[in-house]
Amino acid sequence: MKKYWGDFWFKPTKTLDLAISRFLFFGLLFFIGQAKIDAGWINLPTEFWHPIFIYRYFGWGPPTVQVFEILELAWRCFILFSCFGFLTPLSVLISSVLSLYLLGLRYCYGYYHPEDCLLILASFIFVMAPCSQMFSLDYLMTRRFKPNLVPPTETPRWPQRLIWLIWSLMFFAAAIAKLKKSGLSWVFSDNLRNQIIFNQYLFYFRKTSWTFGSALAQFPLLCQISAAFVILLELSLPVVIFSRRYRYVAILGCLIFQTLNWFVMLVRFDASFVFYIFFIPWSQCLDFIKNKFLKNNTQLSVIKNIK
Amino acid sequence: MSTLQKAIATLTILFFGLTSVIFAFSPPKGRSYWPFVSYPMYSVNKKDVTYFKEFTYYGVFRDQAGVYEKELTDPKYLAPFDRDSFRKAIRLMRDKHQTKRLRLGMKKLFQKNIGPDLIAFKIYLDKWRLNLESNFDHALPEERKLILQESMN
Repeated sequence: MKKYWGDFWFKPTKTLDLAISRFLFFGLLFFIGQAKIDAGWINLPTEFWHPIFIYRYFGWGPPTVQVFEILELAWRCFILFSCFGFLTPLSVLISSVLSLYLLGLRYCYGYYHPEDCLLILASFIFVMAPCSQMFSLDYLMTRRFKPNLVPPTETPRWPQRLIWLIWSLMFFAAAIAKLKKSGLSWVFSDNLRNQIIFNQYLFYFRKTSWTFGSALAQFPLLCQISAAFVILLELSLPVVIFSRRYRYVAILGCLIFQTLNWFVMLVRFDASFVFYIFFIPWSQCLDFIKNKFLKNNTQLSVIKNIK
Repeated sequence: MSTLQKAIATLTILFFGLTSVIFAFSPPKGRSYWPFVSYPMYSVNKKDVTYFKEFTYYGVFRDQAGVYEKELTDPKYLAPFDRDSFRKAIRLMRDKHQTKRLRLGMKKLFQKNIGPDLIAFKIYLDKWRLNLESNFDHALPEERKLILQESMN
């Protein structure tokens, strides 16, 4: 059991994968977070303020406009520091705490979209992860003082796997909630069809000239097949942590599912798209590009020599 | 990897893994423990049409220079006007002084997000009725009632 636990979490993986994931994750969080954090709501009267648990527990109230602006500026700076790997452990810690507070503000004004929580959790996982050994300003600065410094090429894979786990749990828990609340009739009824039609009204302003939702709703059986696909996919997602083969199939299925969600249900899960970066073997991709590029270079030099 | 590093990593795995599992599958009733939450989206069965065939929705509109009654659809304007929170807030505001603060706050909110050419904003309570038999091809509610109107002048 101990050996299995050790192999599962601590087997080495490429350091570069985690470093590139850190760079992309915080880079994307910077852009996604900018759109999500909004000072406007704090202008509303306190009757709109319905603090969620963590705010009640710590006694956090709505910030004043000046305090908010300072926090927002600090958040931007530390997210960028985390992205470029400058004072990484400290920057990641501060940016995670600020994200927890600032992204949570919206939830105190009645907003609810659970996917944001994954961003916060992944951000806190990076606090404990050795993610600045490569592809970071910290590494470049250390190398200046120690020119012979060689970064470790391998690092334990637990941060990546833990992020896979919480990501897949979101879908798994969503499937369990559906089955618990509605049973199999969530699939074998007009449920999804009605839900699609309902969303065409609720989010009518998001409709484009494509009317996928309205078209799909004309075929009740197709809606039931889609519902079955959704439940099966969501239930099976935790398998991606264990099976390499299934990982690629499931990730592709999930990507299709989330894209269709956008066009059919008119619901967007922007933040969960960020998590696909943790499934890409970046070092292998770079090796592939490098090999191809070097190969072409070699061919060019051979041609030049012949000439 | 040293034993201490392994111990810290194991504690992190257990904390994030277990807490996520606990909150995802048996969330404490009616409470949100941000950033750990449950994921109940779309789990309520809507096979029964009567359950939701009529529904109300707060529409927030703006008048801008040259633009009359354009609906605000970006969540950054709308979240506080979500049906439940807005109703709760309106219920809490009983006197004129409180309503005045609401108008002032909204004015600031919209001026910040929309800019100086905002002329007025309005909140309507829209009543929709689903038509399950045909394609959805219109964008007007069955009834529309003006709840709040504020001019920027």
